[in-house]
Amino acid sequence: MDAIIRTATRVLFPVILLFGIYISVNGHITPGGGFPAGVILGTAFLLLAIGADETSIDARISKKNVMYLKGSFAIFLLLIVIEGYIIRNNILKTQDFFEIWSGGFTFFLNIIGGFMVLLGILIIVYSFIMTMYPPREDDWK
Amino acid sequence: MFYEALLIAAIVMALVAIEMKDLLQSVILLGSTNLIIAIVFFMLKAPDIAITQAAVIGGVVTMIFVVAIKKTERFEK
Repeated sequence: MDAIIRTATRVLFPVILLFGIYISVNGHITPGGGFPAGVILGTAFLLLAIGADETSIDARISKKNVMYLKGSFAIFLLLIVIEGYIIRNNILKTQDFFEIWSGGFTFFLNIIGGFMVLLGILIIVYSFIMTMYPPREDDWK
Repeated sequence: MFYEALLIAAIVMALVAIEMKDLLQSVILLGSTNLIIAIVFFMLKAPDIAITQAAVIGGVVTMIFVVAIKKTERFEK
């Protein structure tokens, strides 16, 4: 695609990534949380995919690996919830305002939730961007 | 006063987006409308909803519209 779009997306990409990680990590004390953080991170990758061509997208995003990663994150989320419920006997602790190590398990829940939303958005992005190119034989297995 | 001006601007932008023949400009106007709605959410003390609105509507939905326009036709007949 255009050189302007490619350069602009490469400049914007780390800034958007940092903002998404900030919202994900501070999800239990400031506005935001897992879902907006995941969508912002997904938007960063989406901008990269808009500026790239078919082969480089294919090298960066493999649909099968994204699905496996999402499943493992879901199992990890379930383990954290079970651990908090059985061993610690509470999931949602009370939080102090602007104190990052005060939320109990919501800290980890927000981070993992953000990554799961990111992977879901990546699958949607991959499907939509790849419709711009002609189909291949090994598509959608 | 500022609040009413924002709402009127959002309505005008939405109406212009309906009437526009160039669909890409229409999508950009729709994104601007949703950005104004996000600012209104922020003024109504709902920053959580504002962040989600700006991220989802401004990022993902706009990009899906752009890809759909690229697949079909840019100008309305």
